[in-house]
Amino acid sequence: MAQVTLTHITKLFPGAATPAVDGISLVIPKGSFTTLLGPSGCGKSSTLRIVAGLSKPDNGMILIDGRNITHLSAAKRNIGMVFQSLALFPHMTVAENVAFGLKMRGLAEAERRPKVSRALELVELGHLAERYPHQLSGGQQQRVALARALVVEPSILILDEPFSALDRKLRESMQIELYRITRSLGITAMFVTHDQEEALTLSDRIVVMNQGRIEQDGTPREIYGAPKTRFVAEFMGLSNFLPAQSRGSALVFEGVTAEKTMDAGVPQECFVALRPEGLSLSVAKPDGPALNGRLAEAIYQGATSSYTVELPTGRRITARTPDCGLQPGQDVWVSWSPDALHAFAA
Amino acid sequence: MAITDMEVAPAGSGALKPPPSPAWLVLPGMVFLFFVLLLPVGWLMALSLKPSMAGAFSMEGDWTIANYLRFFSQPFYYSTLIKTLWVSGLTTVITAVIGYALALVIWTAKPAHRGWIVLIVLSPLLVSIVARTYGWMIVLGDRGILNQFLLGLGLIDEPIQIMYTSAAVIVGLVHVFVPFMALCILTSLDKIDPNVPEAAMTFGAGRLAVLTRILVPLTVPGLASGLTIVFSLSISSYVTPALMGGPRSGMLTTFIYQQFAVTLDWRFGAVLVTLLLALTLLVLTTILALAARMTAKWSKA
Repeated sequence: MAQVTLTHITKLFPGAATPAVDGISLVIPKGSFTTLLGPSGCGKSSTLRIVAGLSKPDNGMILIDGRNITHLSAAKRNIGMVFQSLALFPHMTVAENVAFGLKMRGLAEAERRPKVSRALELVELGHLAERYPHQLSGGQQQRVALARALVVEPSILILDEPFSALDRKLRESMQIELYRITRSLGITAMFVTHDQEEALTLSDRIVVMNQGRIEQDGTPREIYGAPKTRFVAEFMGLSNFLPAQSRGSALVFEGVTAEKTMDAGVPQECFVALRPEGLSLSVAKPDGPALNGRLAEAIYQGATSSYTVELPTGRRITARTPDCGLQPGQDVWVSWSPDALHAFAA
Repeated sequence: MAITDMEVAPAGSGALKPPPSPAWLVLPGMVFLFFVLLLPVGWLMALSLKPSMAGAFSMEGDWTIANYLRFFSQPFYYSTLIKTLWVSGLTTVITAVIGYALALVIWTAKPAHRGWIVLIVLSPLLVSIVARTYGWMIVLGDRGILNQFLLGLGLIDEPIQIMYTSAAVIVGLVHVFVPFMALCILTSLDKIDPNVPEAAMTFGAGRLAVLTRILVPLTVPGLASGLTIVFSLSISSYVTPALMGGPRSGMLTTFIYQQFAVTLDWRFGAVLVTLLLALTLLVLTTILALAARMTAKWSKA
């Protein structure tokens, strides 16, 4: 396991107006699980391919444990990679797929065999060693891809949206399995996804990317609980953006004043966001700050219901709370828990 | 409507006629092939078992294998078989190597360039066979461009004979057959997930290992169709060996032509036709059987 350092990585694809990766600098500590999170086209996969050696950066350096590997071919970097399409070798059995990296490293059959069976045990596929990839289910193929990447004891495990083809249930169980395996082996891992829930579940650290740059970098708790920019806030599921003024330690929006300790960076003219899950509705005016409006829409969704409230200014905010039996057209009050309120520069 | 009808009809009442088998659709083609291929070739094969006689086209005479004994007892005759096999085999192998390289170039090219490269690869097929062959004569002749070049460099003292040798025949054939091979292999390459060779690279495979351990095994189906097409076209080619190999090219096809058109010994010519057919079928089934065995375990179909 190793520490990976990226400095000022830049990649401009021929014909593109803006760089796909625009001066990314990042340190991935030894043994940490770091996720690059962002919408498609934000440069996260390009960054990953540069670390893997499948694509050359136009500028910048990649170090593994202080050693410059920028100009080393993919074959010599000692990485283990799981591709979005899995890229299993269709003409090889499960065991041959897993053994491939060891074979390329010149290990003899006798040395390979115990390593391969240990890797297959780790992903609970020992009984399918002689099958071919097309005979396996999607989840089993996923595990083969993971075993194949782990067996070479890579300096860094690289995963490019590996679960995007799986259905929700299988994806969740694979996430938990990946969490368990990477933590028990203490692996340095770099993961790419556009799914914020997946990023929150798996990561020690999340790097949110947008337009080739790092938007915010922090623990899942920091990214979710204290998004620094509107982009991160929206990507992490925040909504209900309202224009506001900041006055010392208070925010004024929609004619309501709310106490809030804020970052120094928030200007006087700013935006607030209210997390839909942190809102509650009531017919009677609650204590403390609250917004008054007319319930425009109530949609039952099982565990929670989605309520859209139209404010006197015509703006709408959405609350997600357990079903509370309110009907559209009713006059309601919307209040919030302190940590559901966030303020940003516009 | 059809669904309600089916529900109303009691099961097994025979209310629904099974649709006619689609196998009937091959009937017109089969009839056509019977009259234009099986009948004449069968007739020729039967003719080969009649005593050799110049000018005899009919089925008279006793059944005999004398023609075959004659063929295999005289080196002048059976050496044509060996030479034909050698020239078409070598042509096929050289075509496979060049075709594979070209297919890789097309496969890895940018989509915008791909069409142009395919057009260039197909270009030999756009020129008439006669024009193409005379073009090669300008290059390969005793006073041709290649000899002038080598003489000019002082590498040789006198022109080397290339035209009217097997080498010229192979050059001519490879030139036309490369497109068939390249396109067959490309079809197989296009079925490979581009991440698969990349994955091999991340696991430590160099370029050669990616080619031999990943790409070649995965393109066996395309390679097999390319090999069968090119081999059967080479072994049965007539114009290129006749023009570039000279009258005594020693290929079976030119020999067949002489039997039918010059000596008019159709019955002995029929022996050559039968042997050519048998040899082609043997090689093709071998290639296809080997390919099927190599891909049987992992191919989905």
